[in-house]
Amino acid sequence: MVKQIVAAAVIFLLLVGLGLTEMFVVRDNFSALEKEFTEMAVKIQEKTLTEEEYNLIWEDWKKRRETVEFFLNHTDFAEMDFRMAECHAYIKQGNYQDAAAQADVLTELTRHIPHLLIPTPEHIL
Amino acid sequence: MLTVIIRAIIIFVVLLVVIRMMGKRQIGEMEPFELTITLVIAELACIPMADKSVPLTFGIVSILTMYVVHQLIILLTRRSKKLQNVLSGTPVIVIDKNGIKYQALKSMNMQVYDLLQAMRTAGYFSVDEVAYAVFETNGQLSVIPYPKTKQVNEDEVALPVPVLVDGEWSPQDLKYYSLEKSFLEEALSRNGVRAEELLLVTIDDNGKMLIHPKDKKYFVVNIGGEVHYG
Repeated sequence: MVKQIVAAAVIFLLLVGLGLTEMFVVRDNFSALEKEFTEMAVKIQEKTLTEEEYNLIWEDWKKRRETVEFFLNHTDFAEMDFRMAECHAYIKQGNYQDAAAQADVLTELTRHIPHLLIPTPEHIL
Repeated sequence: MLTVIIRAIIIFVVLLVVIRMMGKRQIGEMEPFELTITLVIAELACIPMADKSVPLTFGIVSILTMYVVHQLIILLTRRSKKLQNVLSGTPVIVIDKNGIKYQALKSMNMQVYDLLQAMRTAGYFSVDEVAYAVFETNGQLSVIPYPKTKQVNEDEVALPVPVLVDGEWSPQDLKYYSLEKSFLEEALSRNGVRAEELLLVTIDDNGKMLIHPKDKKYFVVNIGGEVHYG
C-alpha cells in the first residue's frame, strides 16, 4: 500500500515537473524566436535582409525545433516549417512584400503556440 | 511505418507497466471507476499509437495521469466509506428467503432475466436453490445456497426454464421447449394466480413449476407427468 502511494506520488511529481519544464522550455525558445522574427520582419520591411541572414535564422529555428518537438503537437511546428520555407522562397526571389506577410505570420505563431500551453479554463475546455 | 511500429511497442510497454502497477483489481472484477479508467486508458493509448502528429509524450503523460487518479481514488475510498459508496455503490440483496426482491432489482435497473443469467453463471439454475443472493459493487453475484438435503439421480436432473417473466410469457422459451401456454395458464389458475401478478414462472422436465408472485414468497408445485409439450 505504502509502495503504491509513494509510486503514485513520485509519478505525479514527475508529471507536474514535466508540465512545468514544457512551459518554460517552449516559452524560452519561442521568446527567443519571436525576437529574431521581429528583427527579421523589420529588415524585410527595409528590404535589407539577405538570403544568408535568413538561412541563419532558419538554422536556428531547426535547432530549437529539435527541443520543442518533444513537447508540441507536430502540426503546430509543421505550420512554422511551411511558413519558413515559403518565406525563404520569397527572399530568394527578392519578393519582400510577400516575405513580410510570412514574417508577420511567423511572429504571431511564436506568440500563439506557447500561449496555448497555459492551463487556463478556455484552453482546457 | 517503422515509426508507427516503434510507437506502438512503446505505448504497449507503458500500458503493461501501468496496468501491473494498478494491481490485479484491473484484470479481475472491476469497480465502476476502475472500468472507467480502463476504458479511458485504452483510448488514450490508441491515439498516439496511430497518429504520428501527436507526440508520444502526450499519450504517456495521459496514461500516467490516469494511474495517479486511480491511486488517489483508492486512497480516498479507503479512508471514506461515504465516498466509496458514491463511486462504487453498495452491495444489494436481490434474493432472500422470500425469493426475488423485485424492488431491489428495479433500483439497479436490472431485469429478472439479468438476475437469472447471473445465477446461472454462479452455478444456480433455480430460485429455490438460493437462500440469499447479493449483487456486489463489481457486478458479481454472491450466493448462499440452501444445503442440498438429498442426492439427485441422473434422471432427476432437469433445467428450469423461465416461461414467464415479469408478467409476460416468453414465446421463445415456450416454443423452444414445445410447451403449451394454455396448459400452463390452467396450472396457474388452479393455484389461484394469474400471469399478470407473477414475477417469474419456471418449469422443468420433471414437471416442477416454481411460481413467484411479484410481492409474495414463491411456491413450488409439481404438475408431474401432466406437462403438455406441444
